[in-house]
Amino acid sequence: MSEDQDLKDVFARLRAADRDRAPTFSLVTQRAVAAMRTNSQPRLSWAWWLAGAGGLAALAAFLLPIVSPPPPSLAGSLPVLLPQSGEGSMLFAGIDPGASAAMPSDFLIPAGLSIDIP
Amino acid sequence: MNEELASQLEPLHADAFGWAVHCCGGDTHRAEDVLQTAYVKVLQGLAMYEARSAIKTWWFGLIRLTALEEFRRQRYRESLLGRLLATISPGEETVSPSPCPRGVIEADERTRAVRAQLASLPGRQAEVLHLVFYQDLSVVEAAAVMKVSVGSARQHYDRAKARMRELITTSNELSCHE
Repeated sequence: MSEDQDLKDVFARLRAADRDRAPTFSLVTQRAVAAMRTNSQPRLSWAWWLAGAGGLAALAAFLLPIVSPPPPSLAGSLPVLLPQSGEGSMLFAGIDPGASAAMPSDFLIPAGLSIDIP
Repeated sequence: MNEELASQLEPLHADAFGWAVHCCGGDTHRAEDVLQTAYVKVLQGLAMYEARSAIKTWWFGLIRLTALEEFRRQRYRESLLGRLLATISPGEETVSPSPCPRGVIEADERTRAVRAQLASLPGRQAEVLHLVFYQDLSVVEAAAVMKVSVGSARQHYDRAKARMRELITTSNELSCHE
């Protein structure tokens, strides 16, 4: 009996137990052949998914300005509240820049006093 | 797979399954997946036997590598990014991270105890013990499968034997007291 017989016996039991549960050679090789055929079929991997999504995003960025026109400017979209009546017309009609600065009560002001109104 | 290689792999199948179970931490369901993936690699020509080592050494090294890849893939699937990408690309096959009950439940109590004792050892020590005592490989062949130097494998082997004996003795003493 060899010096390691105790360990050999232990592993022999383990080996016998595994042999009882082992699938047959033909079964595993048949499964391997089936798995190989499945793997050989083209499959959309995650890299292709990412590439497709990137392409779609680039296409959308290119087509979006063409399909939808830019929004109108704010000045154009607001209503006109005070329309200009003509060339050179004034915004405030009550002030006439050509009128005299003299007022009816000017005689009350002392004669020597002169006020220059710009 | 060519007929010659298939005829060489078939006699190794049961032991290859045992090795896959060990590499998957005792989960037989995942071990079946790993073994199947290893066969797919051979069928697709991604892994080729070039007769630079024994066929068993090459085949077991491939199974070990495949189990590591599956483990990393499963961790990635469990991550947040992996789950997000799985929802974007539903074609990717998803595997439940929880182990199959069939793989967890062991019929034999003693077998389960041995597996637990092995699992309590450091990974390299458990591997070298399995390869030498379960698979009847030499320490040199085990080193080739594990991709470590022979000296390192021998060191793991000596420590693992001593530690495993301790665990078995403790377990036997406990069962005697009960």
